[in-house]
Amino acid sequence: MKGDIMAYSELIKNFDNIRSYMRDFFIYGFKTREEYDKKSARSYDNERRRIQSYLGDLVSFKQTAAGRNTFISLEGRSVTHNPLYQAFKSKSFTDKDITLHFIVMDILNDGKAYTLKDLCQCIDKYLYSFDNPMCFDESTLRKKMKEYEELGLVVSEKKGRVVRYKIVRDEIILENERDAIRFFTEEDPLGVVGSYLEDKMEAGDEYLVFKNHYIMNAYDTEIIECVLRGIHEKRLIEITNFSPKSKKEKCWQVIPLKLYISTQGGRNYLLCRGAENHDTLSFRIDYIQKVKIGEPFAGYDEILRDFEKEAKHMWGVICNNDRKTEHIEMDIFIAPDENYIIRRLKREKRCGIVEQVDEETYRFIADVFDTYEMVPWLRTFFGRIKAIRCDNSEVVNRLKQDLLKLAAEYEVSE
Amino acid sequence: MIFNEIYGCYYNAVAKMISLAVEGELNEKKMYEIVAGDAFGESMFTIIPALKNQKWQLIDGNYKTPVVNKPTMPMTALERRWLKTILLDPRVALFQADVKGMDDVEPLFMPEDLIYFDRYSDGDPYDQTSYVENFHVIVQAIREHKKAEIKYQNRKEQERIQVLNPVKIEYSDKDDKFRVLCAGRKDITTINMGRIIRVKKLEESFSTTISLSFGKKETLIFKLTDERKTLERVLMKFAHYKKEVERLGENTYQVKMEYDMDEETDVLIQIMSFGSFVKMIAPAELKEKLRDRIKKQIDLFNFV
Repeated sequence: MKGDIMAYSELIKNFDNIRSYMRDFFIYGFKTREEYDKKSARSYDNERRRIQSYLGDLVSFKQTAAGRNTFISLEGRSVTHNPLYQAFKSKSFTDKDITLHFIVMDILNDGKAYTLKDLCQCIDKYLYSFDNPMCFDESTLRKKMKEYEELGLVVSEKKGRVVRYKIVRDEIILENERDAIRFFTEEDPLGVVGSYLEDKMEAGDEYLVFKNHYIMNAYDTEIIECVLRGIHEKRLIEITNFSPKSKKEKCWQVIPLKLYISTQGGRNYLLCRGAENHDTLSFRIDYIQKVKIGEPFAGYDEILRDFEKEAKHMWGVICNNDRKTEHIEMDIFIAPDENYIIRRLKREKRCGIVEQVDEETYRFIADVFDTYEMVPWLRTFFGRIKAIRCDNSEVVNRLKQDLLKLAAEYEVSE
Repeated sequence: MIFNEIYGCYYNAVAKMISLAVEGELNEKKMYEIVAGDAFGESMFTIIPALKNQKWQLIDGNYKTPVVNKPTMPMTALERRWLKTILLDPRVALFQADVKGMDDVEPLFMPEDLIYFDRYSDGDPYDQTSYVENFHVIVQAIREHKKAEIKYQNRKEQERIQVLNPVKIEYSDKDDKFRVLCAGRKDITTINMGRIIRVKKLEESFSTTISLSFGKKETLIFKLTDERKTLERVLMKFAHYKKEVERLGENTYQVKMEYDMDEETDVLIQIMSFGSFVKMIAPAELKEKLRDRIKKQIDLFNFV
C-alpha cells in the first residue's frame, strides 16, 4: 500500500542485501551505523536485526567514541559448524506455499501418481476442518508442481493429455554418509547444501574440527554456484562486477575457467577469459554482484588447455596477457640442522624449483608472470635471504625499502 | 536454486511440529522448544501465531494435524548433485562413503574446477591404503573412547610409539592435512595423520568425559596503515581469529587478536608477509623475534 511502512520480517526474498551486510559485519566490524552509506538507516537496522536473529550470540556490539559498532565475532578453531549457513535458511514464502507443501508431500507419500484434479480434491479434504479453509485451484497447483519438478522432488508422467505427478523415491540412506557430509559441509565451496542434508538427520557424535578455516565465503555461495555451473557446463557467463576503486558496477562477458580458492588469504577468484579478446582475467568472487548464465561456448576445451599451460607460471591470480614471464632467483640461508626450512620452501613454492647451492644455501628459481605478487611470501623469509635477483627490479627495491622501514620502526640498528 | 524456502528453518521447525502432532504429542510448550532449537531468534513471533491463527493450515487449535504421515521430503536434485560432487573428491575415501544409485546423477562440478592456489603442496596421501586404514582405526578409537597405540615418525624423522587418547581429528585447509588431537592430563598431543606408520586400537578405554584443553592463548596487538588495501587483506587473512579492530586515525587501525601459543611461528610469518604496513606492538617476546629476523636480514643484505 502506498505510504504504508512495510512490516519487518525475519525472512527475506533474496540474499543480496544480507550478503553485503554480513560481509561488512564479519570483515569490517569497526564500522558504525552512519558509515553504512549504501542503504538507508532503516535498511541497516533491519539487516542488523536479521543477522542478529540468525546468528544469535555471534553478533557483538561495541560502543566507541565514533558510534556503535556491530560485528560478527568468533574463534575459528572452536567453530565446527559454519554458522553463516543459517542465513541461507531464511527464504520468505507465502501462507499458501507452506500449507500446500506439507499437504502435497503427505498425499504423494504413498508413491502413487496423481493428476492435478486428484490432488485438488485430496487437498480440500485436508483443509475442511479449519475455520476458513484455503482454496487451491488447478492453476496454482500446476505452478507449484512445476516448481517441485524443477527442484527434483516430484516427477511427472504424461499419458495423452493427462499429467500425473508422483514423488521421487530416494535410494540413498543419508545416515551412511554422515561423516562425508559433515566434512564437506565445512570444506566444500557449496557446503551449505550439505548443511541442508544435515538438517534432515538427527545430530550425532562428531570427531572433526577445522583449522585455518575461512567460513565467511559462505555468503558468496549463490555466486559460486553460478560460476561453477558456467565452468561445468562450459558456458559463457555475464558477470556484474563491483569495483571498490571506482565504486561502479560493470558487466563483463567471460568464459569461466576455474574457481581459485585462497587457503591463506580468504579470497576466492573467478579465473576466466574475456569472451571477445580472450584475455585472461580474474575477478574477486566477493565483488561479483550478479551472474547470468549464457550459451555453451564452442571452443571451451582449447581455451582451457591454453589457460592450464599459462597457470603453471602464475603465482597468484595474475596472468600477463603478453605471456611474458619474469625470472626470479632467491638464495636462502639454511643451517645443516634446519631441514624443516627446506621442507617449508618446497611445500610453499607454487612454481619453480629449489636446488642446493652449498652446505648452507638453497636457491629458489622460478619464472612467473608477475613477480610482484610474490612479495608478501618473499618477506616471510626475512632473516634468511642471502641474495635475490629478479627481472622486475621493483621487487628487489620493494623488499629493501620494506626492510629499511621495518628496521626504523623496530629500532634495529644497521 | 540454493536459496529456497524448502531448505528453510521455518519449514524444518514446522515439519518437527507436524511429526509430534501426528503422534498426538504436540503441545504449546513443545512448539516453543522446537522454534527455539530449530529456528531463528525471533521466529516464535511468526511461526507459532501463524499456526495458531490458521494462516498456515497445518495444525489446528487442539494441536491436531490433517497430515497423516510424519513429514519427509526426498532429496532435491541440488542435494543429489552435491552428494555426487563430493564422491569425486579423493578425501571421501576417509569417510567410507558408499553411495549407491548415483550413477546417473550429474555432479555440480569436478574437483579440477577448483584450484587451491596457495595451499601447501605436501598434503596428505589420500590414495594410500595404509593412510586411509590408519584414519579409519583412529575414527573407531575416538568413537569407542579406546586408547590407541600409535607408531609415527616425528619431525626429526625418528620413529616413536605412544599410547594416546584420540579425541578429535583436525583438518587444516592450508596444509591439506589431518591431525589427530589426543587428550593428555593437561595438554594436547597432536600427531599428523600422514606421519603415522601404524595404529592399533587398544582394549583399554579412556573416560568419555575427557576433553581437549587447548593451550594458553596469547594476544597479538598490531597497528596497520591502510595502504594498498592492507586493512582488507589483514582482516580477511586473519578472519578465523577472534579479534577486535579499532580505528585510530584517517587510515590507521589497531587490531587485537587472540591466537594459540602453538601457532606462534605461523602468526609471526603471516605478520611478516605484510612488511612495513603492519607494526607489531605486543607480545614483547614475539616482537623481539621479529626484530631478530629484521636484524639478521639487514646484516645479510649488508646495508651500511
